[in-house]
Amino acid sequence: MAYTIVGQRVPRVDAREKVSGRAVYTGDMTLPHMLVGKVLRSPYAHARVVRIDTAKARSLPGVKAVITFEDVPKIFWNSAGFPPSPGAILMEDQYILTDKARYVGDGIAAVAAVDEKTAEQALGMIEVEYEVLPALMNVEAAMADEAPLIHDVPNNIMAHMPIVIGDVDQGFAEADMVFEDKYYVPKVYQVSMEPCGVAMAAPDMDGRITIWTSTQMPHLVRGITAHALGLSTSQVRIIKPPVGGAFGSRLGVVNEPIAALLAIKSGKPVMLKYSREESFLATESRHPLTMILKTGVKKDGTFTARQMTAYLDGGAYATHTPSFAGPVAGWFLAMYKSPNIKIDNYSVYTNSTQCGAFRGYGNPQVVFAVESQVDDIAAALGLDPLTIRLKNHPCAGEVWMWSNWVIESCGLDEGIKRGAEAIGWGEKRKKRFAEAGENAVTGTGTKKRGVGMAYMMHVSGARPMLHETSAAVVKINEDGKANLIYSNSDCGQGSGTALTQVAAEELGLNYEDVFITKTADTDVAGFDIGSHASRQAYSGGNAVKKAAAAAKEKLLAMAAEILEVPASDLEVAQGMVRVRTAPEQVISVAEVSHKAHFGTHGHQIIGAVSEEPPGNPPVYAAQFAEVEVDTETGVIEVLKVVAAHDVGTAINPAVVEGQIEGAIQQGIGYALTEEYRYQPETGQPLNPNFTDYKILTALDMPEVETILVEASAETGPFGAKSVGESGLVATAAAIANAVYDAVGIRIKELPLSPEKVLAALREKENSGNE
Amino acid sequence: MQSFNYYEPATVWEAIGLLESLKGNVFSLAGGTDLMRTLKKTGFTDYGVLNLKRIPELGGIEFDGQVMSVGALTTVSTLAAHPEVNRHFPALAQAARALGTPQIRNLATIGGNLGTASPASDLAPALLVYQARLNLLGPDGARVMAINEFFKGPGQTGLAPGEIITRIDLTVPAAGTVGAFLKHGVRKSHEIALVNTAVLLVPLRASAAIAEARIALGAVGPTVFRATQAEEQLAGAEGGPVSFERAARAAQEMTSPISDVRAGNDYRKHMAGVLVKRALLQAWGGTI
Repeated sequence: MAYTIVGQRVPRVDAREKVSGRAVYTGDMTLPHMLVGKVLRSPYAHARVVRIDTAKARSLPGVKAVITFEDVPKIFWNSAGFPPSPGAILMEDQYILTDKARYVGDGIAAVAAVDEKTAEQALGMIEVEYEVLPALMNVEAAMADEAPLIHDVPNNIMAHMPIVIGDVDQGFAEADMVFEDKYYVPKVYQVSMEPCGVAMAAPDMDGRITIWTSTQMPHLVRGITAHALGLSTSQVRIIKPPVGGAFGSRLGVVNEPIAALLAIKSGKPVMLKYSREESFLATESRHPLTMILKTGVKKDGTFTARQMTAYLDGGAYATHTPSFAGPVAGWFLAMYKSPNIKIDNYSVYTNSTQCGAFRGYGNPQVVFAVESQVDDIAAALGLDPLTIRLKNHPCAGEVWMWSNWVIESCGLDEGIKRGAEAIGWGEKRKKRFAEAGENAVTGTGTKKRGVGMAYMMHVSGARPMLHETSAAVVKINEDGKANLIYSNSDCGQGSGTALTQVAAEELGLNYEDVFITKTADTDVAGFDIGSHASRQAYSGGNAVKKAAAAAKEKLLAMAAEILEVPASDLEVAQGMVRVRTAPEQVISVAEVSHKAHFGTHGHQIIGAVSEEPPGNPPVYAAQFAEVEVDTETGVIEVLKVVAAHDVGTAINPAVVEGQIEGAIQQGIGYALTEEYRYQPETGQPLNPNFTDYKILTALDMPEVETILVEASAETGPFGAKSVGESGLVATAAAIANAVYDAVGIRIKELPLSPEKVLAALREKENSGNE
Repeated sequence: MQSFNYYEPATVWEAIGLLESLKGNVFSLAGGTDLMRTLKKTGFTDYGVLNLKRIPELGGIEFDGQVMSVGALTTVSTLAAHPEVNRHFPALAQAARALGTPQIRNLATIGGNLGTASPASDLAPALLVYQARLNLLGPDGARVMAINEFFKGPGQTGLAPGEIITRIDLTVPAAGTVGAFLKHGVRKSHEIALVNTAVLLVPLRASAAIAEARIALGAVGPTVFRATQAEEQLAGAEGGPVSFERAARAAQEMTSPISDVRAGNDYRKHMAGVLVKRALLQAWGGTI
């Protein structure tokens, strides 16, 4: 279907203020009498506070508040930003500050002072005596019978989620071949440009508190913060200014309760801004996972049984982890059809920083394992990797086991076809183990090229596991331009722009004449879940489109009255209302709206909607990578990535491509260089900085070709599905499979570091010589 | 950040006077890219900062066609772009381009890089193979120190109390000399070397043999160093894959790398050999 504004590469609503540096982020703000907050962090991974003395810090001039465990409400809470829903398992095990440190960086005390220097000096004057406990830095250590307990749960296992479909034993018995492999993926960070953890809290005289915070979910953060402080939800007001990237790191409460408590205790506004190092030390990362996969397969590539046992290293607090186990199971379950499936997910506490959401929410981990193994299966059966995927993926019209709902549309087959063509699949796969040409090092011949691919499916929202409520109000002003009042949780992805396009398209106004609330304010906009689960275009878009439709209906009714024709004869486009059959009969929206405001019965035309979207149509992607492996250094260079994504209707193709390209940068980092590491005995973080936590630079980026397959979904706003997270989900697996194609080694642990590559090459050489 | 004492001398003698009167309780700042990072992390304790950047004598590059005198405050980006550095000391220019990021190169200086004495310095291996001479000035006057005597350990140098580096002198190598610098890290920019190497080969006139070889390595020992045993093997030898492979193994034998979060010692040792071999091949096959 042809649209006027949907599908156009219009400039983003926040482009001018961001490229000019004028956007005012939370950390840029200041208020009269504002204090600076700082947190005293545990130097030990696991330790009990035996004694704490804050007297000296309190007596330091300029210090306005010092808080410890003694001062925090004794209310357990959970920082994860979930709406109470069937799929939300919210184990409450946190206090705002603790008297038992569970990771290096755990908050022990906090101060608010007149300036940063005084606050830092005060931290140094707090005396703490610790009883150090053994640090449990991986799931094996934590689950051991003799291990000390991080929280009061046996073997430090916070949850076990078993799922059984059919009978896997029978499925394995029927298989021609059975594959069993163990995979490990490390802890990695979102590292948004604006460090995670920036909040400014200001109490008022009426018992309410306003918090400006860099968040993805204003309303849910409001509720959790209020609960942690012992307040009722409406006593807290959250304002979300522009956010400098999130990628899941701000999917819930970060440091809002500490800022708020300091503000309440001091009676003054408090800014609490984490440094880059603190963002690493004390905020949530992607989960490290150990996954044992067992797959039974017929010679023709039919899966008879699929089994996964996964250990989720949740870190020091539960936050997302027991709920996160659900999607982890869902991604595995729903990727490939099989009559027999069994899953056992164990969520485990360790003494690392708590894990949470990072773009893909378990899917990158699972897809790395599944797609690595499927590649091995295809090789063993002599099948083309494309064929085995085309044969086994769920299709439109079939039930998707992630949601148990029928799949509305599927663009995967087209994506695989076009992606394979773009990477040169056919001819390049034939040249396995061929020497690289033009880029080979003079005289050494050590560089080998290969191509690989992986596929993924992802969600558009989180239904039916979680509620997907969104609210939108569209009001048409006297001049015929419209405000879209929305809890705009755009954190850089461009959703505010897409929603503006949806509203303008539905209203029949020009894009430039619709103004979305760039700042989210819980006192103004209706309840909205926020930015998670790639939901903004689909779930948010649904509410926005309906609110615009409601306003349009009233607009046409008013116009019908003026033009003296039935409303059903009218259409509106580019700010003009016309009679369909007599286009010369025309009136501007401005004139209609002006008459509405100031005519015989004064009113403003307003459409308001709060509801959940009807479904959760999955998106598909096939990603292809070409790599060059240096067999002498172990270095993998990614030469090209082709990303073929079925996103439904691309509301703004430029925004969609930007999302995919940016995600691929993170996906290559996950594949090759990124790993947050701890000293294994003490739990001291080894690389909480950009010197040694290796995110890729512009120079490291390969050519990226994005292919958009627009298999639109009937329930989506103008057919849109989603794109936010999917760009990185299949990247690491595609690269690992390309490495296998290049040099015949299979590395089952990320990142694919040069050291692992060399070790695998040596092992292959040795086994070949036997 | 804590408050600290800050000094900004206008002349070298003022700087040396301050260094002497403060009895070393001060950090010299020439670029600050390493110092400020360290100080923000560890605090200043009782130390102050002595900013050398306002001293005009410490800047500028002078070249008479044979000897180049590089002021200690010369930035890395200046070195990287300087036509005469690129023509006569290509391995140094390559090393300068490999250091840090554009922002770091615009601030970091050659004097600061040497004074920091990082075992992973990118400039030091190149300066070692060009046999740089460091002009030092201190309370007892001026002296010249050969660069191979300068590094004593991680962060440790041959500077006497109160001494500063004023200029670095380089002599243009013999005609026909070829050189290369290679750095190995996991990404292409903003990287600290896992291993780096600079090599220089002086060919015997009108033959395929090597008159003199100089090979320096970084990040695989407590200081950057010359792989003298590898150099000896190449003196008089025919240049090519066989001799280069042998020299690379000899160089590798001289390394004593550590294991840390960046890489294991085995990998660093392996890569030292690979990098030396590749640098020799690249230099020999290329032109000066």
